[in-house]
Amino acid sequence: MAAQTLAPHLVETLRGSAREILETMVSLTPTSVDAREETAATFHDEVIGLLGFTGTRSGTFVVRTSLRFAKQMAANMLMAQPEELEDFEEVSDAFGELVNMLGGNFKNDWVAGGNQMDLSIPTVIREGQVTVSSACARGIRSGVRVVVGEDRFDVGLHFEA
Amino acid sequence: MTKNVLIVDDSATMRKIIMRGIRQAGIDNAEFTEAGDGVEGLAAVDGNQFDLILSDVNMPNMNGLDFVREVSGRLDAPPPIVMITTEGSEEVISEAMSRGANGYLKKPFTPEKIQEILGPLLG
Repeated sequence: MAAQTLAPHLVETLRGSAREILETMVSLTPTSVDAREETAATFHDEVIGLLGFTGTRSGTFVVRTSLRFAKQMAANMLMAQPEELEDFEEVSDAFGELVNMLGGNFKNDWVAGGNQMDLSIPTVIREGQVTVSSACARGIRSGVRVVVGEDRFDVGLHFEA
Repeated sequence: MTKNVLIVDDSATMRKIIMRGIRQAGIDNAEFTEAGDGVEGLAAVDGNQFDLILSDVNMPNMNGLDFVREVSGRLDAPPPIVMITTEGSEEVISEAMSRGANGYLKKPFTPEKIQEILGPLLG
């Protein structure tokens, strides 16, 4: 049995919050924010942000992008130029906050639907490999892809079975 | 008149965004002290007087809800405490209020929203 996808209104929550966060906190206007099937459970992206959750369901938010775009977003958040960010720690901190806001905004709608959700502290990995355990029956995987010009980041939501 | 503001958030990026947002909101009389979690926040509160405390909820070591409870318990007349959080659920907000918070500002936020929530407290 294949992993299921998220209820449409919750996908809309992900899309809406991704757009709002990008516009409000990162000063970028997305070219598109589209729902997409999250087919993979193992990721090798240059920058990967993880936010675990427990509650009615357990799982992980997985947010992935290139180092270049993570740096651009961090620079925008700090009102700096990307080349001014000498340390990955600054990029990691900003990207982690982005992941935190995405997860927190999703939680608000999830909890409003009568569920419980406790979020972890975000973790950001550079050039690592991450495997999440939702690729089994009754697992739910959904995501959105945010495109800004030639750059993009992917937001995946992985519920464990 | 200068207002002393304590910002408690584990993200240095978010602390900078909050400071910038307050200035962009036209509030230019604030001086800031930063703390990276509730433990650092309590240390700052012990040695200083603040006119306003802004605190995240989801932090390591001591989360924002425990921090608010500690501040409210330690000070006879605690300053206004506003939670700045992505977690705008009724459950978290009412828990924060019951522990001594006076309001909340949901992330992401705009300078207009900062002015609306924090302006009266820093005016």
